[in-house]
Order: sequence, then C-alpha cells, then structure tokens
Amino acid sequence: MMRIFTLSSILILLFLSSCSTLERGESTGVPLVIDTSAGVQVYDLTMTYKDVEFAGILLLNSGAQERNRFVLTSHFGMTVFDLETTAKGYKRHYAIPAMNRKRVLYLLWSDFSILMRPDFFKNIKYSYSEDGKLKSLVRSGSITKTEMSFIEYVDGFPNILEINHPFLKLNIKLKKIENADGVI
Amino acid sequence: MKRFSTFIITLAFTLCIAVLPEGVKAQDGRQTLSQAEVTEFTASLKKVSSSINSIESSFTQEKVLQMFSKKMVSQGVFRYRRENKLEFFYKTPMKYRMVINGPRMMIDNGSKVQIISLDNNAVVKEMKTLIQASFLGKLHELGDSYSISYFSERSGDVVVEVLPKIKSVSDMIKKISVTFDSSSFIVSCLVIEEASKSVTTYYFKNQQINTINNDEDFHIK
Repeated sequence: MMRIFTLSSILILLFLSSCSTLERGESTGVPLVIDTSAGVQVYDLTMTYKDVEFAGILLLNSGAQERNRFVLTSHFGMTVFDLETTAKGYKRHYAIPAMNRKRVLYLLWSDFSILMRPDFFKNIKYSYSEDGKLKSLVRSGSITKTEMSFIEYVDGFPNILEINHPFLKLNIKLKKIENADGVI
Repeated sequence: MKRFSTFIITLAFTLCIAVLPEGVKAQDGRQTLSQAEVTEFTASLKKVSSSINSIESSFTQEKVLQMFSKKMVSQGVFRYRRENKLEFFYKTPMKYRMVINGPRMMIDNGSKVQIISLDNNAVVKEMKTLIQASFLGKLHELGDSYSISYFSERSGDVVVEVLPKIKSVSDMIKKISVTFDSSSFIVSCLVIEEASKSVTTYYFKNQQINTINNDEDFHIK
C-alpha cells in the first residue's frame, strides 16, 4: 500500500505535461487483445516505478455501449481503484486517496481502454506477427508515450500483456489468471 | 377506528422497542452486549489470549465485488506469533506472502521481495495495530481512534465492530467486524467493509494454538 502512495506521489510530480486529447477512432479492424465477449477478465498485475513495485488483481469487464469497468484490488482484498468508461471519458467509482488524482486515473483509464480496444485512440502505431496477431503498439505522446506488447497467445488472446511508459519509467505487467472461474 | 387501532399498535410496538434495555435489542439476530457483558468478555479474552503464543490456521478470503455481482476467493495459511509477527501466505489462486515482523512488512510475490517500513505508513500501521489487537485480545485498548461496539450472535459468538475515526483510515475502511468463537475466544472471522462499498471477509479455520516454536516463517530478509 505504501508503494502506491510513493508511486502516485512521484507520478503526480512527473505529470507536468498535459495529456493527449481523447480522440476515439472508428473501428479499424485491429485485433482485440482482451476477450471482451467472455465476461470479467482477471489478470495478475504488477506495477513498477523504478524500484517501487505494487502487485494486485485487475478485473476488466466489457459493458454495453463501451461502458467498460476497470477494477484493481490488492491481493489482500482492498479495492485500489474502480473506473468506468463513459461517453465523455471515465467515471471514478472509487480510488484510494493516494491514487485519487485526475492525471493518474486518466493515465490508467487510457491504458486499460487501449487494452479493451487497441484502436481506442487515433495516434497509435501497430506491429503484427506473421500470423496476423497484434504483437505490439506504440501511442505517441510527450511524457505519456505508451508502449504495449502482447505475448504468449492462447486461444487467440495473449496471456501476458505489458504496458510501458518509458518517459515515466512506469511499467505495468498483466498476466492472465488461468481458470478464473475459481477466482471469481 | 381502524386507523386508531393501527396507531395504537404502532405506538405500542415502538414503545416496546424503545424501552427494551440496550443489551436486549435485537439487531439482525444479534444482541448488543451490556457493559457488564463487555467487561466479562474482554476479561475472558485477555485471559485466554495471554496463554496464546502462536496461532496457525487456514483461511479463506472472499471479496464481494458489487460492480460485477461476483465474488473473488483466495485461500492460504495464516500464522501469528507473539508479540508482533503475522504471516498471510496465499496459496490459491496465486502464491503470495505478506509477513509483518515488528516495524517491517515483507511482500513476496514469487518473483520479487519488497520490504516496507511500517513506521512510514500510517494506514498500514493502523491495519497492523487492528489485526494484532484482534489476535492479542486487546481491542478494548485501541483508544480513541476507534469506536468499538460489542454484540453477541445467536450462536454465542461475540462480534466486535470497530469503526475507525482517523480520516486517513476511514477514507478506505468504514468498518471492521471481528468474530470471536464463543468457546475458544479465537478469531474465526474478520470482515472489512471498505469505503469503496466492497466487502472482504476472512474465514479462519483449523486453528492450531501454540504449535509454532520459532520465527522461521516470519523472517524478513
């Protein structure tokens, strides 16, 4: 928990430049990396900022009209944040005080929105494997430049997803939890 | 006439509830303990806990996610050793260890070990204080930072409800309920109600008392 405090405090200081304007693209046929048709998807999350690390369980759920829900809990049960995509951006249902900062939540929301729909924003470049699977993507930006990579595909979806903000030195690694029926 | 009858019945019912002594009021099948019962319970708890040097038990953690109408379930082993050592060893769905030993906490996720000083984090420190107070039978010594109420279940188990008054804690945790087994006075259940409206319940089973003879499980590298 202390790691979150430290992480968010540093993030706030680093978010000096403004975030990119949201521009939702039309569907471009970019393949999905999250199985949005299969209910709540559960991932083991590790968030690293330099040598500061936080681990938890991320739940992603695709709602009607893209009202996606992103919930992060600690392994010990505490809810860290609960965000929902809306027509105008996102709604914060809950965030622990240390993370309850507009730009921190915006960054997390934009990252997870890209995971739910890789063509969520326009300014993204894609890289594909020979069999047409999405291998990586880069969203240009100033300090919030985003790199994502997707590996270990099983049944058409990657088991390991990595989000990297090189200028922020922030890395988020997601590992799909197998047999999630036993978890939720 | 019918309205008058209804009024009288309602009034009588209300008066009955109002004049019942505090210790007899029913609340979801619970009864609030009277001051004498609280004194008796805390004395018994203190007596029993003074003979406990360690506890080892299996636990099941259930988190109810209202937003998804689903439940997340984790299981593992809980260990406590007097005076200030705790371990939560999660075995499913993922291996994960949290150890508290004195002023330090260690988190081991299998690939990386982190050591955190509790002195620098008021919230985690409060959580540690609460858990330790529960297992040491010192809830009544928590002081003015918490509002504490005592109830008895139909089964005879005693439930202690702890409401944090400190804003930094209450911004995250609204209420903690600790259930003590009626015969052993050992914690059998811990319920944490969060500000996020999520509820996490820890069930402790197969408690073994005084079986841990060394600090090996609590070692922080």
